[in-house]
Amino acid sequence: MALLDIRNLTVKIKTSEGILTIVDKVSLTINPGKILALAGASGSGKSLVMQAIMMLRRDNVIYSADRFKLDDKDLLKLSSHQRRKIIGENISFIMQEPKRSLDPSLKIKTQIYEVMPKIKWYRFFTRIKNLIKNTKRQTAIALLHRSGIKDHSRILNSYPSQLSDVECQKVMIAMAVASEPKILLLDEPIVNLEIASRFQVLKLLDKYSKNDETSIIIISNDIASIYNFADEFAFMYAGQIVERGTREQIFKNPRHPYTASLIRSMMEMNNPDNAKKFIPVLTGKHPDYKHMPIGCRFGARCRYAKRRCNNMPEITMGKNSQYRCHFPLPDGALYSDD
Amino acid sequence: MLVIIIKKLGMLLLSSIILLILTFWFYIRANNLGNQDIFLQFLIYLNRILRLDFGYSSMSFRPVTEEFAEFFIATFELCLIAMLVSVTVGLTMGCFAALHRDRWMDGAITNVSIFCSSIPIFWIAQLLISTMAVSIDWVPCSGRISLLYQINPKTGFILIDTLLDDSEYSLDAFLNACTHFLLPVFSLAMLPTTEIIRIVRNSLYSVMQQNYIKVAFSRGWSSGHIIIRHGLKNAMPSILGQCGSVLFLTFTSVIIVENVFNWPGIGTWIIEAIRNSDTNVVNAYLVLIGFIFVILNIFLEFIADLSIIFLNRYENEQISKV
Repeated sequence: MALLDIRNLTVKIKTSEGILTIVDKVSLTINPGKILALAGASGSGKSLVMQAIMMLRRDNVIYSADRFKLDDKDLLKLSSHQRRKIIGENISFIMQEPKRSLDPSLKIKTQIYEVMPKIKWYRFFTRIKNLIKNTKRQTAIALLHRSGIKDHSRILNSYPSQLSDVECQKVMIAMAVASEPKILLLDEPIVNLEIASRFQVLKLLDKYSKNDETSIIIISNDIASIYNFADEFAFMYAGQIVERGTREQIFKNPRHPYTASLIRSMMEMNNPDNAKKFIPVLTGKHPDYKHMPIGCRFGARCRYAKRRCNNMPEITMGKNSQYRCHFPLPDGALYSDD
Repeated sequence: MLVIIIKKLGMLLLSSIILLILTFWFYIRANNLGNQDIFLQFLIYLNRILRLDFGYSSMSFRPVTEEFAEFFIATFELCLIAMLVSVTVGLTMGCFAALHRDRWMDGAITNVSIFCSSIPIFWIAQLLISTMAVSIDWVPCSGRISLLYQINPKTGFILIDTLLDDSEYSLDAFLNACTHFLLPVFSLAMLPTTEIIRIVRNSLYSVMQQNYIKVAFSRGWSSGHIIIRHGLKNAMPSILGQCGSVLFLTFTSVIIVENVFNWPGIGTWIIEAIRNSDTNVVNAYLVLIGFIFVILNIFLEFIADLSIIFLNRYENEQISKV
């Protein structure tokens, strides 16, 4: 049973030149304990998908979906207040810049206490037990320790500007898991960090995913560093999911030419023999949202495009993957030299 | 911290010297002392000001300082209540406008506040008198309290005095004083309220764009909690820094309001003095109100700088370097 089930999510933005459809019929499902990576070029609507899942209110954005189920609850039937409450309890969100995601005027201590779940009045005895055994501060320290912070007393008593980016990101993760969420949404969590600490943060997230059965949706441009981290990959191009599948399937036999080109450039980068070789990159540029092509959105840049590509390809269900292409690449096409 | 205090003291010193020179020039012109030793006269003038001795009023033949204290308390009470009203109304309305930016609520609040800020005070005050006080006779139109009540001044604040009075009609007198406050407070609070709405809306909106507010919204907290705990707290330095204009507006418009409503305060006193060319009173008014305004303004800026240090750690390092 899928934990989060979204069908045909569409995000439109009101601009001065009319309404633009940015995210076009994106379907996502995620199972408990799995890690899904959303990859793609910048501007392909990855962050908007995240914000649509969080239902973050923005004035010029319209969200719509055919199905939006979280843990078997249909969120579309609830009022916006109830929906926000359920989402806040079950999903945690970590944004790009960790330092700017913490309130600069409050100590870390205060901010961690604020996100810790309130004890319900009917759990009176638990509360007394907690008072004796496990105070608020102890819980906060335990949270920080689980997030890989050792000198908790310094961190707790300092302001966000006194910490480094990695420490801030660890604090953000500690705050995100404090409410014991079922899903963690990460919007480029490692992009501003040093190489050494990127690995640390990813390892930490992996630990949470394995131990607590927390599902993770991670956005990243850097496929190479999240290659070993994610179980499933979904590639977005121009507001659509072009290919989706398990890690083995996608990296062994990509079906969509866009995915293949991304993976190929990643592999050529890592291969020491190719240090001076010409690396084939995509020609052309990402289409403008004001003038979307009517057919396949990747068509203008695709090497294999034919006349049929003037029609929009539908999603094809493969064995371990789904893709949106008329002419899927055959097995082993990634390694053939053409 | 020390740097800020020294800077503020320097500002205070500079503006008070300019103020003293200006008022000294007025003092010489008024008393025809132009042909005497200027420096000696300045020392004498300084000595008098330090002892708060402004001579006698030619209208009532009482010491000016004593009269000033009496009238100032009435004005202070009016200003205080008007400021309280405008801060409460302005803060709530500003928060609503910032939260619902570019929607009908924001449009309504902004347009009404622009409309209110462009109404002249003397006109709205007279309109209020002619409708609320004369036509339908709900509230009294002038003065601090009805002449029927004999109240002994103890503190000078009419609302406190009526409650402290031990006559049997003290509660009636208190309610009567309250009704006398309604129209002046309304017309005095209107302009500062629109100013506060504008300041709060703009400062709060720039804070609401930050990532930590978005993260806070994603945790499912209520908007009230987020605004009070994360929004206003971070917007406070910039709000306080711009509040000097609010004080300025209140100080200037209180003269008009007092004259229209015949309020026995500084405004009516100074206009009467100008009419009778009572130079001592005018001089005292210039010096004292000038000093009060300068000190209040600098104090507000000092508080704003302090709040930047204590609330907003981002700018901490920049401030101490300046």
